[in-house]
Amino acid sequence: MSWADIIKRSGRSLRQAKIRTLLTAAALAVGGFTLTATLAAANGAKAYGNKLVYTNFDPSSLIVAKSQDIFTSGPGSNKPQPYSSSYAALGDRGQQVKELDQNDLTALAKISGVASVFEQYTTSAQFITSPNSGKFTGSVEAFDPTISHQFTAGNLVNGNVPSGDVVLPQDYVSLLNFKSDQAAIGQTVSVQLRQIVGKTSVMNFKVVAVLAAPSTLIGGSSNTTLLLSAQDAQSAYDFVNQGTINYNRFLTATVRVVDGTNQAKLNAVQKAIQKAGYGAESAQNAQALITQIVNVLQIIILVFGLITLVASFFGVVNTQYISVLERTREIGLMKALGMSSRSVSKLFIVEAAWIGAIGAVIGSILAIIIGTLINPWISKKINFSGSNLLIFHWQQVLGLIVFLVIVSVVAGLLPARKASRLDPIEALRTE
Amino acid sequence: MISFRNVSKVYGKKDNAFVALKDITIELPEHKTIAVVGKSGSGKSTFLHLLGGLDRPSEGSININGKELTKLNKKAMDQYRGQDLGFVFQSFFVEANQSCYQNVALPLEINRVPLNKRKAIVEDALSQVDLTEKIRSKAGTLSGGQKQRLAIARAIVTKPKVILADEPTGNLDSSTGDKVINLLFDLHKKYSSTLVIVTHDQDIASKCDVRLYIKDGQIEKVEGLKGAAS
Repeated sequence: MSWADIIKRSGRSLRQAKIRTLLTAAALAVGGFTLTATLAAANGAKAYGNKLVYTNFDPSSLIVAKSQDIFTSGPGSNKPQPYSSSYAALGDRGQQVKELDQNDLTALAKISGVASVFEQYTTSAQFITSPNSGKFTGSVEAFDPTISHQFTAGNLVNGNVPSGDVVLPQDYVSLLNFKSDQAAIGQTVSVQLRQIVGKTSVMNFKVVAVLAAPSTLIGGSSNTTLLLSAQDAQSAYDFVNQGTINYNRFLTATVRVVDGTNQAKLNAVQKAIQKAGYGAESAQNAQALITQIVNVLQIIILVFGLITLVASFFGVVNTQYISVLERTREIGLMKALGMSSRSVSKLFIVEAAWIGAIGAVIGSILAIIIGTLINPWISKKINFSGSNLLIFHWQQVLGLIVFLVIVSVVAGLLPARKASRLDPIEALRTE
Repeated sequence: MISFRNVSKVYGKKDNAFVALKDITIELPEHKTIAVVGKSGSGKSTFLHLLGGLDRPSEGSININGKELTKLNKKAMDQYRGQDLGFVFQSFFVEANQSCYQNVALPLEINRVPLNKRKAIVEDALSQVDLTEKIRSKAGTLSGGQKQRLAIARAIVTKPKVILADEPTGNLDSSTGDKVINLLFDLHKKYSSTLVIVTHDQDIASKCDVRLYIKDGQIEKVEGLKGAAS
């Protein structure tokens, strides 16, 4: 019997037992639904992670620290450590924090492939205000032109912030009594800085652009960080920190790599920096960490999906066994008429494949429809603004359908074997 | 020529052994009607199963038109049943939920007859049994006589050399049974096939060219065969 006839005949057999076929397929559909939704959620989480990384890191740069363990276990130790004069900076609870100093920055700049080294001047302001508003907390740091920023009003000439100008986070627009994002452009914002000894200084800036409030923030502080020119950021830093133990010491610095969009070159510089005794992380490393977390969560959920599949597997075995028992005479007849045992076996395997395909398609389509409908709501609920939690890739859905068909076929093997081994004489005697 | 040489069939082993056929040797002519007659348990169905390639003898050899059945492998045996034989059963064995067309097309599907040729062949077979109008009807909706005619159409659709009918009128009333037997004989003449009918009905047996009487697994007597002891 040809494959075409086997497929048609098995389809007809399933139509004759519609309810049983649909109920068995429904069990598989539950597994298909769970797995499709899980894969889509993992896609969404990975895409969100990527967005998170690439809106916070320049992919052609490296974040460099005094040692690699700052990236893995954080600055300082939670346990008492022997004092070392080389670790001059102290944390809030007396930890010795390994920080970079000017000598380190000079050494890093000399490493082959390094285009430039930037220290990150982030300075806490005493308060931020405007002529017609109250005072609010915040900080200032240098605008990084290599990171993608989204503005709701204004723009940057030459892609950078000129001295005397500021990029204002959107949250401050209403706080500082500006009527709209657009109305804030050109207005004056004052930043009061305070030294540890109490001396203060006011820096006035003109708003050049308003920064969209992103949800994709690592650390969650940038909503309160005003972005200045590098020169102004350093002036603010110098005023607040000069004469303190932390002056000109940095937890991390940004190393821009020559032709850093080339991953091989970026990796080579990263290795060279690490070989020199420093810690270095790329956007890809940060992304890998997020992906790893997502993967672990995905595996956990997939295991639950697979457990439902195990139940469906036995459902298919049961259904096909009953089908063989009910159709014993039909099998006997087909064999008497010359149908080979192999074709009989194929007939039942294809039936199982049909059940798998029906279940998988129903489950996947339901997951896509429901997922698409609830996506905006669920993304909003978990603060995924701008991103979708569920992202469906047709290749994955197709692969999943094929996988479920294979599972179903494997489940159908045993009943198919039983059918193929039936003795036609005995089968024809069955009442 | 249908030739059985020293054919025995034993079911079970040792103490549980049951001898269904014992050292049968006979040669039956082609293109004739042959009745295999015997009581229940005589071994006539076993004879038919061996002839039909549904079972293999414990001893001896069976040769059909030069084809040595005992030497055929499984695939060749399937082909023999599919191409050389047509089966008609007492219980019809039509697929009730399938249409008459689908029932008759089954042997064509098994023999991989191209799809575009099937319709004409099935229509011809159904017209031979006067069921043309029922081509789209479900087999389950037919009367007993119609079901057996449908089974006959399925048996002749591949134009087999041998038609094996196992008590073909056993589930029919006498009037319908007569019509079915007449149909089988008419088709035998038309296609010049060998018709082997297993029956315990003497009226049917008397219509056949050759009558083979089996009792306790052995040939009791043969009628209508030149040179055979009667």
